[in-house]
Amino acid sequence: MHTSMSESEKAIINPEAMKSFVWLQCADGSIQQVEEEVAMFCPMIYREILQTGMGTSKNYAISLPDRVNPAILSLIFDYCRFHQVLGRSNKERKSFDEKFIRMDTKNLCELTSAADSLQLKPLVDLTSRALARMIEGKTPEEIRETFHLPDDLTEEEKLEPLKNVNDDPRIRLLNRLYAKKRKELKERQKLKDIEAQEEKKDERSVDEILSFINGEEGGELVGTIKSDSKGVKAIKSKKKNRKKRDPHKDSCRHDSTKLNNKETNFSPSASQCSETRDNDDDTFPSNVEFEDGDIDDLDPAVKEELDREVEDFARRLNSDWPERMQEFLLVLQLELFSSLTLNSRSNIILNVYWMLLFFIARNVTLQASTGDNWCTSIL
Amino acid sequence: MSSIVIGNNTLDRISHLPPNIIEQILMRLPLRDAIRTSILSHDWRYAWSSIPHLAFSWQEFPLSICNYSQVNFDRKLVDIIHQVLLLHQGPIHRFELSIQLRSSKDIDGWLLFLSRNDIREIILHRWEGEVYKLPSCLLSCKGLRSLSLHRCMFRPVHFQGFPRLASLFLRSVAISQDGLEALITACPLLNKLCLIDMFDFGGLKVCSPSLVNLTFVGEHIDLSFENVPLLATLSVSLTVKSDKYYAAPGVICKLFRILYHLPSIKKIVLGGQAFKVWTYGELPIQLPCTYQLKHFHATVNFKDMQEMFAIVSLCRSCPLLVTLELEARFVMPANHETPVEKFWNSQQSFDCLFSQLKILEITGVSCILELPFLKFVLANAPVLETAYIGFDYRLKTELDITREMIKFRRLSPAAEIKILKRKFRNASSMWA
Repeated sequence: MHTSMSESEKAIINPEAMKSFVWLQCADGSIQQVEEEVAMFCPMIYREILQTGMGTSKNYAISLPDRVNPAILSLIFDYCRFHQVLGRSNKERKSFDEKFIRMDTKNLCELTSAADSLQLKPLVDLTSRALARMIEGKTPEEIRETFHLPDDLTEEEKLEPLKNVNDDPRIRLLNRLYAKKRKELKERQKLKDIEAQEEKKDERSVDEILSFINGEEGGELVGTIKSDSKGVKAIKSKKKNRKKRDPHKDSCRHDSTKLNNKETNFSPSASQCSETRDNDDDTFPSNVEFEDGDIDDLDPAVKEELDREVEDFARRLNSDWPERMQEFLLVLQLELFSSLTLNSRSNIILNVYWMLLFFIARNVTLQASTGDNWCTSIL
Repeated sequence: MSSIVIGNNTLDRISHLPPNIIEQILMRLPLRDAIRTSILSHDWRYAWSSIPHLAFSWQEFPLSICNYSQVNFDRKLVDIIHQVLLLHQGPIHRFELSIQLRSSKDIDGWLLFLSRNDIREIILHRWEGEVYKLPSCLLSCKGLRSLSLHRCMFRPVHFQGFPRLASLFLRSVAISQDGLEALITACPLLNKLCLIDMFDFGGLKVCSPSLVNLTFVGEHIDLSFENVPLLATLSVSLTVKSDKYYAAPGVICKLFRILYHLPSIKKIVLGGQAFKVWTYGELPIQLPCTYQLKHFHATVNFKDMQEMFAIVSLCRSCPLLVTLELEARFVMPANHETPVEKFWNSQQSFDCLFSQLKILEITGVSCILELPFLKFVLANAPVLETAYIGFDYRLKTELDITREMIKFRRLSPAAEIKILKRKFRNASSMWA
């Protein structure tokens, strides 16, 4: 072994004589050299050196598998350089590992792949554990965002076969609503004309009721909560065609307060309504565009609209809202959307009744006063 | 608008990792999260279905359906397991079911499915509900390496044994004594055996040429060993209900009889009343042979001369003893004064006594009468390194005892006395 004196002397003359280096060539052609003991920590390189004797010089560099690129290679060698020193305590190694894997997901995946091709098992374990930690406990949307996964499963496929297992409340609700909707769409197809007429009738009657309440806005979709002795029911009315909704939103809110003040039957115990936020108005989905008259467009349009709305809503709400609120709004919005195509009000009531009970059970606490604003702001 | 599908798919790195890595990642997730990855994207749809470990326990499968009634919960869990098993591809090496499942009629079907899928490890813990009778298809799992059962009924009839079984854990399992003995003997690779709270036994004769580790917790039965050449660790904890000691007058006590049959024994842990019942009887005056015992832990009564004499005899016959841990069993003070001091003072010190003892631990000390033993050891152990003393939680003040302790002569120059922290109750360290 060289002493420090001779090392510095020799460094001037022949820098490479002190330590033996191994030459490695990446898939893209670039050649790197690294200390021998660091490189030998990787079983694959170790075997290559022993079996083929390559790596001694630039011309005989060991070629590394495709999955290893130069940047990742330097990361790997940082890891090897630390761990190949024998005298380190377990605690030191652990804290180094914790700091080492703090990187973005792209690099982490590449690192895992490269470590696997070099057969560096401890690093593979470390990175797989880190990736598993990133997946654990997250919702599918969050995972997709973290790893940039394409959302290329159709809604149908998402619901097949593992309905129960996914056990995501959102998906469960989606399941039920989709199932209901599908059933009703089928019924609809058969009894097309009759239903259309009935629907119009219903709408008109409700609009009549509401028009005198609302005054300026005729036929708005207003949701109020009626308290029961048993539970909470929501009664919703049909909505007329409306292309522009934004200007109406403020008036909606006013109207609902008016509504609540005037109506004696409907006592808005919004104890079960959720909290509201002002900027929620902006996030209002455009399911409003839906035309009552277009029954033929329903099938393809339904699915597309729903998909878009679900995604949009979910994404926007994901960042700000507490999870429960997201679910509630998401589902409520779906329910509203589907309620436009349903013919019987009892279905709506049952659906919403069920949904609200579900949320009661999940202890969604709501404010009485803000509930009204919220209800109208949805619409 | 919808999830990020920007440009080409080069951003999605994780889906293109090699399948063995994806499997590793999924195996490190709790089962429910792993299955949920099936709705992430097209590549992930069936990625989870080849993971070989399926564990339905509360940690791995935190079902958020505790609010449901038990019947609904059962049905839901059964549905889930059905679906998971149906969709699974490839071998299943490990299956665990330890969530409360009231009804057990579906487990038969699952075990049959598993027996055809190269199952290696089964964990079946039924915490409530009726005791589950294991179907015969379990006996056809030839690749089984580890079996863990809680509250089941096992009646192996004409059974050739599991050829690869290495670890067997039975807790509150209803099995006949002959059946269990046959099972133990018939498994040629059985390495670790753990029997807890078994009922309906009169006695048990253990005969297994490969057994290395045996744990037995439960009521006092006549435990005997016939052919256990490799047994290295023996942990026994007995509770005595009736006054049967399995010792006839004039016969050497159980402890030494058992030691005779354990040529490779290295560690013995005796909890509960095991030491008391096993030292009932005659103690050998002339010791026929020495043993290789290195670690001895027992719960003893320091005021019982029989037990103390047994300890000394044991230490004399185990010259390689390195660790000695004794936990004082709390016994109501007797009416008469036991001649403890006299006993210890009259003990001669032998050459090989405590010659290798490095660590001594005495816990549960509650009165001065337990100190003479410590004094004896300190005066006779030439290489003792540490003596740990733990006090009984009921002791009012440690000061008197400590004052006495520091007066003791120490043969070993390196010996230290360390007082252990008081615990809230006498948690026995041996079974931790």
